[in-house]
Amino acid sequence: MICEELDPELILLDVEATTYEDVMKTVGSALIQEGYTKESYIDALIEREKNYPTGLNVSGFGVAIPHADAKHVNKAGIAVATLKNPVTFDEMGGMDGDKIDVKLVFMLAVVDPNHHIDELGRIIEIIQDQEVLARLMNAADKQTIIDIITEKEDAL
Amino acid sequence: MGRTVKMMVSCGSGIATSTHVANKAKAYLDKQGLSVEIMTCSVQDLPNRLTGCDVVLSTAQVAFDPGVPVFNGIPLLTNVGQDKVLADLAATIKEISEK
Repeated sequence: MICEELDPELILLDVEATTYEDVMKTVGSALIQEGYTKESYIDALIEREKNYPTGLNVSGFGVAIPHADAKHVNKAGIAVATLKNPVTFDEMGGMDGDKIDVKLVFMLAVVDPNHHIDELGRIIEIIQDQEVLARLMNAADKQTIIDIITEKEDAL
Repeated sequence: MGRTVKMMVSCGSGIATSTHVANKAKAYLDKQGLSVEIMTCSVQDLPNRLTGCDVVLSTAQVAFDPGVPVFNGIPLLTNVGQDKVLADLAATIKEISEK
């Protein structure tokens, strides 16, 4: 279950950012600091996002799932960040110019997707639930974020 | 039952979303009784991985014509329009398997 593996050090609330590069730097720093990824992760995330954006439009709600190649990752983990103000990301699979204002970010550090296929599936199911997304946005503290995700996972 | 159809699932990095989308598609296609061999790759690698491939499912934009049907995998991530993509994918695969 994701909720059991969520590291409070990787939960960031009301992150201040203007561009997606800012988001990669702030949230990516948490993953680097806590030893999940190498220092090269931030540049890798930004580079990847330029070519293969990770913004998803879930019926109008913007969620991003940035991640980069496993060679920059030491151990698997997920960082969850709520953004103070929406930040524009490009849409995954979209045509140039398809953009979405993102409010919630699930930054992934993936080593081998087959080891974590269940977790990946659960993250995807979580982000499909607009009610959960709205509640995560309004969470006042890290424990609330963990509780909301726990509740959703129990119901899956 | 027709022949096994080969499907390549691609995404930007070839690691996260392609794996999830591949699994989701496989579960659905299995239920339809369709025999599919599924592989994943990054969309940059896709031009090199098309030999023997019958259909492509991708969450990243495929900017070239691979010569086989291409389906958009993003609905399998957002659940918006997912049923239609899966139904269309199954219909195409069934058609290919019976050729």
